[in-house]
Amino acid sequence: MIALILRLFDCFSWLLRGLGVDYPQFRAILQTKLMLDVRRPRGAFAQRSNKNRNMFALTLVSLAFMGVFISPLVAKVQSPLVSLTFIHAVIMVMLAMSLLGDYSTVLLDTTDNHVLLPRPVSRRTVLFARLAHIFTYLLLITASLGAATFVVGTIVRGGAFLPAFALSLTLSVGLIVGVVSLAYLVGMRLIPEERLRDLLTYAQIVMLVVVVAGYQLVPRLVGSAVKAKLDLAAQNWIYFCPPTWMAGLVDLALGNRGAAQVVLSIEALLAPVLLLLIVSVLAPTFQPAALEGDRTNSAKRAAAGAIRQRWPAVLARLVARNPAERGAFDLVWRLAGRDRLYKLRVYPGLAFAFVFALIWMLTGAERGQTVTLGGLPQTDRHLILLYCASLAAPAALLHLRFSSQFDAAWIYSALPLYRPGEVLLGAFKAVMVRLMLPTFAVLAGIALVVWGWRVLPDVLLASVVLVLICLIEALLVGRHLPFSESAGAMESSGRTLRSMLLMPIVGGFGLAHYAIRPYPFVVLGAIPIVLLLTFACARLYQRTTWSAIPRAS
Amino acid sequence: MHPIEITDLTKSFGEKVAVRGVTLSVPAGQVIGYIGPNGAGKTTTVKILCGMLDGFGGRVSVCGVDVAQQPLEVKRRIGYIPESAALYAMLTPLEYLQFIGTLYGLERRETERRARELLGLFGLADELDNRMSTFSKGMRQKVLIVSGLIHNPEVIFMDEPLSGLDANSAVIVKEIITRLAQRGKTVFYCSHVMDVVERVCDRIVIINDGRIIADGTFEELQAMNKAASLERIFTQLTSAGGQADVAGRFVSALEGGGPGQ
Repeated sequence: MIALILRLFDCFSWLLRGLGVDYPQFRAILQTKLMLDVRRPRGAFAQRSNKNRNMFALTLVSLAFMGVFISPLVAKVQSPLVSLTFIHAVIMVMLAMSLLGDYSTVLLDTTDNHVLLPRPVSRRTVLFARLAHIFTYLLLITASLGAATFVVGTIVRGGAFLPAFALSLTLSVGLIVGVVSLAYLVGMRLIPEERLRDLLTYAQIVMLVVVVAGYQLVPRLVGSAVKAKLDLAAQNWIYFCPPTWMAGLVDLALGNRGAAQVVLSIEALLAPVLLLLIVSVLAPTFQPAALEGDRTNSAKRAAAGAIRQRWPAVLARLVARNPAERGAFDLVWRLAGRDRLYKLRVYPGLAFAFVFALIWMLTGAERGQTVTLGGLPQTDRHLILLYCASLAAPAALLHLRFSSQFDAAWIYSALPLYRPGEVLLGAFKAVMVRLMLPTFAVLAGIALVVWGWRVLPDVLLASVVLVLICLIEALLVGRHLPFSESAGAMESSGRTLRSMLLMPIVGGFGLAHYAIRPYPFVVLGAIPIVLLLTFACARLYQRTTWSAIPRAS
Repeated sequence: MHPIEITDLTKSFGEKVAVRGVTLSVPAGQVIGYIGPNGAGKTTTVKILCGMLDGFGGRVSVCGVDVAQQPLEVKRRIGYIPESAALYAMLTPLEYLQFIGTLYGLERRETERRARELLGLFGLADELDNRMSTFSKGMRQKVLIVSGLIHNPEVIFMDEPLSGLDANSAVIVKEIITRLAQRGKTVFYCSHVMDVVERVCDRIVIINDGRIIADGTFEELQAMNKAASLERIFTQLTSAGGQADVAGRFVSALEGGGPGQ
């Protein structure tokens, strides 16, 4: 497999050499990275490596399954331009989300500095090796997502569909990788080093909003085009819409040789190449080491007065009873605010909650029922708002086990710790109080302001249900000690997308709540029941024994 | 021109100054011991010399190449053996060295020959195809030493190269250092282990708070400070003394009767 991937890159070695990359070095780095991904169980309590590989295979299979739902469009919608625009849009959005959520840490990785930095490797070579590494994974993800479409498309549209769609998907991946890496490189150039890390998080959030907004917009445009029997090729906006470029390319290959298709194809081919060139020009500014500057930061903080926070410990005393749980709460509380990787991965998830809350509230679950802001108080959509808080939970819980300083977790096995479950519960509580509580508080506040006090019972029920949902998710994602594993590209793969699979849980609870919503007393009466369930789950989680913690034998 | 030439080197991180004006010239064939208390600026100096850290003041050239101008060229000509045994533990030593060899532009077959021979001399012949995650600290250190030397560099930087090695291997490495110097290579040796520095190095430089406070052969330092061992000289120069008192207070602080009992 790795040999095959490297063979593929060999075909383009002339291009990379042209971009100033030292190809043998590039190849060696990429090969090593891929090899490590396959083998890596890197963690203080590392799992067997083949579990990683199986997990990745499972991700690919579930993505292929998701892809089944978009594939019928190719057959159902007459115009390939319309259906493929939609399909490319969906895939591009998924890619962008995956890239932002899972791979930005691969691009900005600092863990191999100690191996690469002393060697005569240029920044350009390192940058392109990392981009190629990410590109490889995104290509696999894309192939899975598009698998069903390949089959349906080839049956319905003929043999030319297969190579054309493969090309358009590859170009899509190139485009997305290009855009995101360009954004990071520009950020690195414009922003002073010390502020860079924080700003990257914000930049990620902004990009996410744009992507999600686009996700809402494109189907709408396409949908109305289908309804109104519009000729998409006659529209002007398609020349500014990347999914349409890709669709145009495939359409051209299928034999629709209109002027629009030709222009779109040229755009599809030129855009990634152009991006690659710009990235190459900016490559010398690539400086992952800058992100490491912990010394700079700590020196600065020391000058500005030491950071001594007492109140996490006070808070820990309030929410946790036994010392191990309290200690874990305190630790996770502090690290969750300082661990760069954790922040980089989780904060966009929080933004998710708000963005989706706004969009779904205004557009509604049922298509076409758009509501203006003023009309909101008459609806029951505050439930959407309240339950969106839980969208942030999977990321916050899934990423808690990863850290760049995972090996520090040896401490857990050296401590006289009878039940690691106490550490797990303490860590869980810290995430809840530090991240989920503020998110929910803001959303609940908005609900109370817009809908008034009459929704208070709903807010109360939703708050306890939120805790229950998070606990269920924590039980489902596996019992891993906080900050005890290192995340490589393979484990990160599709994690954002996979976390979407947890969404039916939220939906289920939300719908149940919606069903009892007309009866305030039932709503209030449900609270103790949910609380009881929550305590049961918490107890289960707390009683986790060492044998349930995955680690190397 | 000597292989290592440092003139007025300064480096600060934010407001914290790590190196305040170091000037040093090291001729070929010399083993220089670079020592100082924790946080004195040793690692910073080494990282700058290796082209791993930019944004410094002063002029630094290694092997006649300006470090600020051509860090890659410097990296190509030097070897660096870092303090922490940081390598890709999921690879086998042979794979790892093959990777490192490629980065230095070595021929694949030549890398393999050198890797096999060097690791074999270190007693790792049976471990060539096992993953390093199963290795002890000393075994990893041996791989690290080989990885820093495999391209036969002109100048070698070592940071605690003996850490984790058993006594027999340590003897071998010390002998290797001496032989390398005899062949005209320059060795820049950082360590906290004073008696090793005393025996291995031709010349000893002590830095404290970013400045050089002593520079000379062991005998010269002995004569200047009227002390027999390097450890003595070191504590005389870099601390106000009172180590025994600190140790005593440390132990009694443990017996304070807190909840940790």
